[in-house]
Amino acid sequence: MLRNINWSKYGLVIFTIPLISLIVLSASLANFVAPYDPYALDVMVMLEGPTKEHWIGTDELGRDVLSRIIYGAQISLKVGIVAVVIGGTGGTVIGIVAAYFGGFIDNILMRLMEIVFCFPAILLAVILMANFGTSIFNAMLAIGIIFIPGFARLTRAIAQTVQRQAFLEAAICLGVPGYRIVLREIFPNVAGPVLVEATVAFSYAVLLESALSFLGLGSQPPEASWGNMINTGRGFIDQAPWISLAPGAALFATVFMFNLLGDGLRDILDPKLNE
Amino acid sequence: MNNFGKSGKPILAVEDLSIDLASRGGRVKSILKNVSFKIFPGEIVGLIGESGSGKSMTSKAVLGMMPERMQVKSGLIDFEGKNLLLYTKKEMQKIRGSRLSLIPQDALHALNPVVKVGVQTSEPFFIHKKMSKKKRQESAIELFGRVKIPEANLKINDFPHQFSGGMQQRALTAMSISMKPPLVIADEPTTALDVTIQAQIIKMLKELSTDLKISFLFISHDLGLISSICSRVYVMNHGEIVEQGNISDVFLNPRHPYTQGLIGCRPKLLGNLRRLKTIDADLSDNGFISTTNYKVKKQNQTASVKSVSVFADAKSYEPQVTKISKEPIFDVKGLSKVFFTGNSVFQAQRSKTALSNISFSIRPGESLGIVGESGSGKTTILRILLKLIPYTEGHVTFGEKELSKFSSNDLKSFRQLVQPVFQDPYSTFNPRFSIFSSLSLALEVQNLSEKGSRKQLILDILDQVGLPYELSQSYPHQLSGGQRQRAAIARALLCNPKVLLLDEPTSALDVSVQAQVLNLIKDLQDIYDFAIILVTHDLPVVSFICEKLIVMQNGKIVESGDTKQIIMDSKAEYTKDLIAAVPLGL
Repeated sequence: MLRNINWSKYGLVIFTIPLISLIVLSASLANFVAPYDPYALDVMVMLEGPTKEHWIGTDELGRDVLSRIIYGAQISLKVGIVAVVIGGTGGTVIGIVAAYFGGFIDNILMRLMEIVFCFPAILLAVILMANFGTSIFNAMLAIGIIFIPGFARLTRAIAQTVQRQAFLEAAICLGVPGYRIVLREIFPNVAGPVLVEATVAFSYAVLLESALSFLGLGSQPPEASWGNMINTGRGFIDQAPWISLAPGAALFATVFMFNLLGDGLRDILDPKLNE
Repeated sequence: MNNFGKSGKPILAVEDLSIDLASRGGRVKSILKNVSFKIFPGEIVGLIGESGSGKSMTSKAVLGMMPERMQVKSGLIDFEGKNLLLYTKKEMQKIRGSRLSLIPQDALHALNPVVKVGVQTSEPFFIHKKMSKKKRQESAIELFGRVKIPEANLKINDFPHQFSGGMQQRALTAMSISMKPPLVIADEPTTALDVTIQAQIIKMLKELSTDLKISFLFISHDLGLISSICSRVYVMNHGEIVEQGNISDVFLNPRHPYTQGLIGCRPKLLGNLRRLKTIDADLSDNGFISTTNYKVKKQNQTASVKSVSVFADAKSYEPQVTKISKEPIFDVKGLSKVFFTGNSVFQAQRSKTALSNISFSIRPGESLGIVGESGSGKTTILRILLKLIPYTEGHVTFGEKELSKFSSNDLKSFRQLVQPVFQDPYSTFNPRFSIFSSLSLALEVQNLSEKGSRKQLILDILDQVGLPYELSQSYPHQLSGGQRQRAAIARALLCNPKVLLLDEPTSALDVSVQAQVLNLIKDLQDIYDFAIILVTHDLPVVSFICEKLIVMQNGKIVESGDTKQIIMDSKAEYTKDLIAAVPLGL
């Protein structure tokens, strides 16, 4: 059976997994990897461009940008991943439940989702955090909740098309119990698109976190996250563009890798692309 | 080449046309091989073949609408004395619609849903003649009259969804003849339509051909249809023309084995055939036709008996419903079904009666056909019998129990004893799992066997339906339509059912594959002795499989009884229409 596997379709995953693990590892081992303390001020080298000592320069308070990016990855990755997991899981469950039961339950759930959709994402996060207090965990939770309706709509739409397929009726006629119909017949067909949506949501989550920090609701200065580094760097974009460009590039690279990973996983999960 | 007694210049002469398909991997596949045919003025010529035979590609080549990856290797397409292959895209555009036009295959999706039908029909007048709006409207009314759309002056302002399928095809035909082109290519113009509508369209095309002196190239997979409209026919197989000639010559004395197979494998309306002829696998080894040549081996009967006893051992419960002797399995009395649309709060609720007062019964081992056109409610009956949807009124009893009053135990045995085979072979299996995995799910949920013996059972059943065991590890998309339908039958049989409900099991398949599957169903019924309820629009298929017949129209039974008797001596007017509409062939 081994030689029947088409290795070329694993290419994307084989390519992206090491790079993503590199990002994740350097973030989690920031203590050892980062050349400087991310909070150490050094007014002597304020707004300095890339030098031998500071590879990507320093910011307006003379902190090492590279170190701050590495430490910032901790928060940004955490926010992205946790928010996507909350939003993705919640949305997928709600979407499948709505599609599977239909009728009244579908109506209630989807109207609820529309209510959540009505609020601008930032406003919703602000409301949630006004209630639960500001903390980085609450920020992740808020962002995750914002994602739920999007995932729910996507999942419901796909689950509904799956439910009209003959194989689902065949499964019912075989007497397959409801939970297995959901897990075996519906979920695998939903998983691919959800995964792709998740990579997009990830990048959006990192950016949302920065917007929240800007409002003082996410990570608080002097703590570094990619989002708030981009934000504070804006003021110095003409004198010291690296302050915001460098974390921007880090964000771009990470999102790009996750997107590629999403594509790669979809290829593997979809048997139709085997040939 | 033989001109078949025709004199004068042919309007279209395709000579020695070969077309290759270059795949992305650089491999070259030959799509058409030295295809030659001629069409003379005012003639209706048939082009027949199964899916993948290259018949649609031929029409695309003539119309200059080949996909980019197709390359013409050799040959010429002579249309009114000019070689179309040398035409530029712009020149082709001028000819298409004015001198040469197409009636597309899928009538129900060919019209733009947001543009009035009259406007679409008269579009050629704008494109080729720059006619004014008012004049176009007048000509649209005239065209509608020609294709016999009633109340043309009102109908031109309707949108496509207000047209029935037959009407849409008429409008498309009107469009294609609008510029009175000398040649119209009709690419399976009736596939999506009911048989009675099909007969009307065919009649109309014939009249148009004689009235307007239009030649038709009539592409179809349906032999009966071809023989009822065409004067000459070309038979295509694997990109080659294997036989040609006058319709009666080809149909009465087919010389090529492929043609012989094609003619033999179509069930006859009143044939007393035990089995249908099938086309040999070696004749169609390119995978265009299902390659598995199947035979039900008699020695397998012992194997199946053995597996039955395994089932019996595994069953710990003794369901009441299995104690059926010659009492009806399904007994349906006064069944009706009303669908409600629009939900309560914001919309007024509307109701549509899908079935009213349906009564019939089926006994073990019997086979019952339910025939009707689209919208007759035949599939709704099937879905009720499968307990997929509830019914509104009446009684449906399975064994001795009412379907709507099942206990969970009753339902469990019901789900084993009643199994479906659905119409669309492409969605009948979950694309994410291999065939083996789908089949073993059936055994697993039915709790019919030990884990260890599952593999053997699946192996046996696949052998029974004529699928090689190696294929069980494949995913559904890797199988052909016929193979998938076999696998679907295997899945149903694994449960050892008492009733098999077949929903148009062969309508999506080529005729030769259809013959194999129909033979298979009949043979398996002999071995396993299950009852069959077959829902279809295809009368010859019913008369091949079923001894009892129900004819339905608009949710009501118009006639029921013995199949042969109904076909020979039908009482109801609608049944007579249905039978008359079946293209008989020669």
